[in-house]
Amino acid sequence: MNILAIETSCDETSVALVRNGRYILANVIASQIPLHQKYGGVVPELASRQHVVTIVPVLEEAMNRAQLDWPQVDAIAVTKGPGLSPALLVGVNAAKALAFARHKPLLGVNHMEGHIYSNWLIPEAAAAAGDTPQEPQFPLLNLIVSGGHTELVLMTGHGQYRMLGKTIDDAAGEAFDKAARILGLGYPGGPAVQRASEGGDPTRFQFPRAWLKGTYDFSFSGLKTALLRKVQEYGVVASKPVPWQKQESEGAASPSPAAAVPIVERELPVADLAASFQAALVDALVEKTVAAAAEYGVREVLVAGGVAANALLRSRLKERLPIPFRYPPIVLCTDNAAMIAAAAHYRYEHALQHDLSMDIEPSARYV
Amino acid sequence: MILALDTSTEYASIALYLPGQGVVAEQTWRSGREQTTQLLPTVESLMSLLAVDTGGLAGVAVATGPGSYSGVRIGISTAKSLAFSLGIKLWGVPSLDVLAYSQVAVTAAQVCAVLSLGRGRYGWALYRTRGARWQRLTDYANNTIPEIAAQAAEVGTEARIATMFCGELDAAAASEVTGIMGNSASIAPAAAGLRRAGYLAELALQRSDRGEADDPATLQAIYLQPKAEA
Ligand SMILES: [Zn+2]
Repeated sequence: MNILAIETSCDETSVALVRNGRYILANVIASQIPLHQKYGGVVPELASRQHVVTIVPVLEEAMNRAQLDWPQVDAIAVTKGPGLSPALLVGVNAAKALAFARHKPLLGVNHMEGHIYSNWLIPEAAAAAGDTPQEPQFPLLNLIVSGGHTELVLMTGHGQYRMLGKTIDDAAGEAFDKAARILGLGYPGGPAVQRASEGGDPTRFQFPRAWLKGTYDFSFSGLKTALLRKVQEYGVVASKPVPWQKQESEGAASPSPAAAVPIVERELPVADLAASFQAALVDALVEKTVAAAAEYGVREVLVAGGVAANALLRSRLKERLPIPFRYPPIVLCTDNAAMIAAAAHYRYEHALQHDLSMDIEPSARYV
Repeated sequence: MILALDTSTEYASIALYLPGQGVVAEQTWRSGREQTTQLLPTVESLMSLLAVDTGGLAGVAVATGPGSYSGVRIGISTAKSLAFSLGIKLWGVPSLDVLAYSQVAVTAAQVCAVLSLGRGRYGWALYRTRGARWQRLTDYANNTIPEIAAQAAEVGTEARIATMFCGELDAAAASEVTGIMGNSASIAPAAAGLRRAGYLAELALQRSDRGEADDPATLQAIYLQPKAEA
């Protein structure tokens, strides 16, 4: 039972082939990060133009890597939303054409469900080594942390979800992006902040944790503002090059005209700021997750989404959770088509297929 | 059999074409923003009228714009995936060429093909038959009606020929054209101003006769930036 899946909801063009909902035969991801880097975020029109060009080469490479031909493909799956409309359009129309041309069932998948199902996947290397962990056991708790979403979702069976809490302002990934911009660390922010925080003192700055008592909701905008204020105290204006960057690019010290102005530019303790910011953000995620897991008596906790790649989040959850928890390898944390194929598998088994009139759903909900 | 797809503007058109015979089915309709939901179901119903299966297709032709960015990408994504998965030929044809080709053979005037890009902007180009060959005289451009009329008048005056406008011009745009150009301009009837995919198929087959085809891995849409002076 092989599903071919396409994912183009944001800035990755990805095509995957997955067997039985778990075994990755191919998972080709063409990242557009360099294309959007200079804008500090994804530009939908550029993303879409790139998807139109990349879709067929990625498709071709996935088929080659999986060593499959069309008769061995049982269904075509695609992300129908949520995501950027111009980007979603490319994948959805491509998938429909494949399904039509080759007479395959069409399965539209919610991108967030895809992230959840990334934890069902068995990476190629693990499968080759005979390392095949059992499927996640219900009821389970999902912590989905990505650039656009931060959600705690209770799952009692395939396709059965209950939203326990979500962010009321910035998503965790978004907060990392903003922090990276404030600290002059580049894009994408999550890996940049994590890298910068290495060797930093996470206790040097006490940034606020918005606990939002009595709910499982999150809030990260206060944390971002606190970081910005702290940086400004150092006489550095956000989005301008920070002093250590200037020194790097200008080399030898020369009398600075800045010395004449009253604001004293002290050297910005980037590592300590990044580490303290990361600690505050991870604290909030961990506390809520641990509390929800206990209240609902789940058997497992699954972490998914781009921020699931964060090492501090992983180690803190491991310390705090008394039950098994799992997270995907880094390549399956960010957007990829293998997770879409995994989520499509239960839809296929329950004959939840779509017809050729399927549309994109840029604000699709799954709960 | 060749399948031709055009979703460059809110008007969509599809055709099935038998080389050596001609158009065997064609449908042109105002799809608006429903191209994603309507395109393939309409292709499917047209093919079922003729009892043709996708396995019977030998090639796909697609309009590459200019036009609505999303519309053009819907057509191209669909056409590329059909061509790739069926292992058949792919030809991209600019949408303005499709419009001009339908008129240029039947008029001595130069043809100004226009299609609406929204917000008062139009994609356009000038075409003319010289001897047995028709050719495009200007680059594909994105302008307002007064700008287009001024350009067309300049080229037409120099060549001492009239201009026939054809394409998506509503009554207000048409009277704006005649207001600027007077009787040196005529407007093709609305029915003749539709982009019909039968013509698209024919242009694709002409490319095929010249040994040309497009690579699904590289075919890109034509994106026009607004220009103050074309
Ligand atoms: Zn995602």
